[in-house]
Amino acid sequence: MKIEARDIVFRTGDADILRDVGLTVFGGEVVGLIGPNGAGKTTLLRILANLLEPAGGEVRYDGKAIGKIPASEFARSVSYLAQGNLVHWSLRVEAVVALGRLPYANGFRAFSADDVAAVQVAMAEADILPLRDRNFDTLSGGEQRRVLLARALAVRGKILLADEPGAALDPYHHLQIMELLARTASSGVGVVVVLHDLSMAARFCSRLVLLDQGRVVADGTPDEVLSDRHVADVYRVSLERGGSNSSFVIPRDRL
Amino acid sequence: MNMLNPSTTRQLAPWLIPGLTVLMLILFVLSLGIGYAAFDLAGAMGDVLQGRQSLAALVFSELRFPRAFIGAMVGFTLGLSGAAMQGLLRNPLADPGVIGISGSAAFGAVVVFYWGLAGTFSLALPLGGIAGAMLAAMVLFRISGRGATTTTLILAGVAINSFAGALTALALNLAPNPFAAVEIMYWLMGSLADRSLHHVWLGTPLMLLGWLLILSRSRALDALSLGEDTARSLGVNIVGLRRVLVAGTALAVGSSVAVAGAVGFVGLVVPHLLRPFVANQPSRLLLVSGLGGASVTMAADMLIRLIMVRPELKLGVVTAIVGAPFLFSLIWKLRRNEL
Repeated sequence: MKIEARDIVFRTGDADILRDVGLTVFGGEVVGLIGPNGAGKTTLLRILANLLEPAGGEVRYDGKAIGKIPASEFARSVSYLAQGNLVHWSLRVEAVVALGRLPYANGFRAFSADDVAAVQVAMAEADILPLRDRNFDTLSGGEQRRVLLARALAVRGKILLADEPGAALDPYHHLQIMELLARTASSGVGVVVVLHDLSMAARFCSRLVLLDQGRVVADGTPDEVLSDRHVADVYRVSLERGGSNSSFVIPRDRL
Repeated sequence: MNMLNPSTTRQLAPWLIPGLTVLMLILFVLSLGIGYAAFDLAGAMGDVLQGRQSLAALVFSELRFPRAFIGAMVGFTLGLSGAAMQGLLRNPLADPGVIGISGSAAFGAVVVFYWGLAGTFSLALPLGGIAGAMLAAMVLFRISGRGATTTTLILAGVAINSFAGALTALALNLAPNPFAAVEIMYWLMGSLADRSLHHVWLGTPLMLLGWLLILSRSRALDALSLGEDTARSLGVNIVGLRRVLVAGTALAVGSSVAVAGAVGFVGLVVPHLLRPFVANQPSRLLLVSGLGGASVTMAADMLIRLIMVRPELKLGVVTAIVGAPFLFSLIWKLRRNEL
């Protein structure tokens, strides 16, 4: 599935949050949305998820305008992982993951064998099978994040939109989540992920889109986007690079 | 409902729904048998079934049955809609009163009292209650449209509730005579005494419709546990969900207040009590709270008939006296867990 966003404009009151933003995502890609706080990354992701309506521009999925896609079809095709670990009631882990099957079994319809299988696979992928009977609020932050990612994976969508999936995770679990996103993309799913960690972005994303003050500053491979000039202009920091092909970067000094 | 696979139900009590159903049925039969006069329940039922116009048959069909049946229906409604409101507003302190439905239904009924319509035809009072609830629902619909947050919905409900309360107080203030004021006061306390089959016929269809509307959205309530954005991404129409749940609550609680007056605490306390048994899952809590609410309400009503205080205690008074300390104990437990 292909996402095309063209000339997206979004305003809140007098403030322009996004100005003429364009983005194309193909199946099998991991596209990282990066940029400083307030750059418009989450807003763009929510527009792609049809949770916000832009003031201008359009989003198309496989050439079809986002507003024209029936809600149930959209919910099955595009899964969205929100920021944070919000679960209002302390549900059981398996019940949280099973919510990913809601687009297939709403109303009084029961879950099918496919739904059961998808939930099991998603829990196995996110390595949370041993936690399945625990209550959500008894889990650590990292475990909660994996449960919510499993919930998003259980949708089995063609597109996965994830907002800071690795925020507040230790390096082990952050890597685990990024590897999982990369694996998901390798099965043909288009993954769009909002990231703050530039080293993770450089390593796991096939393409990066750098946003600043509501505009796309750069769109390309990690090497192209994370150039010294872009990073200095947008983040006001310098980078230390290392590894083969500069595949890891570390912010070093404030400029 | 959500029978995902056997392991999903591992931690859930499999006896819960059958157990609560049996408890409800036992309390229903006991409620039929308990009263101020000695009563041969089996004989009366036999008379009713064979169409004999005996005194016992009359007591059964005009007094005992409507009282027990309305008790079960009202209790189920309060438990179910309390669980639905807590799920919708994602707030353990929500109940049908929070969105102003109960208060407005009570006001609707008070208007009927005030204009002296209650005596003109027996259905005037329930119809007034239902009209009040519908009016409140319509105001909420206007407010809870696109873009309204849960906080807005709660605030609107609180405003509607306060306004309905103020108008009810105004009606009491301006009551044409002290008897009317006392009648209104008594009615506001909630009771199942002296209800007839008329009330059963009037209340039951609307309550059933309300239940169906609420239950049809059970999974959407689960999705809402993950926040509105995630629920929407799962295909839940939040505005539609609110409207269906408010409409269902207005129909069910409006009819319940209309036939039994204002009965507090059941909608708040019963979902609280039962939530741990359903692993906190809003969809599972609905039916279970309905069954629990029916049992609690019938038990409270039996207590009233057993303790023989004269004049008879009002149902709303008993549920509040039992419910409020229970709420204190919950808060106490919560405090202890926080420390």
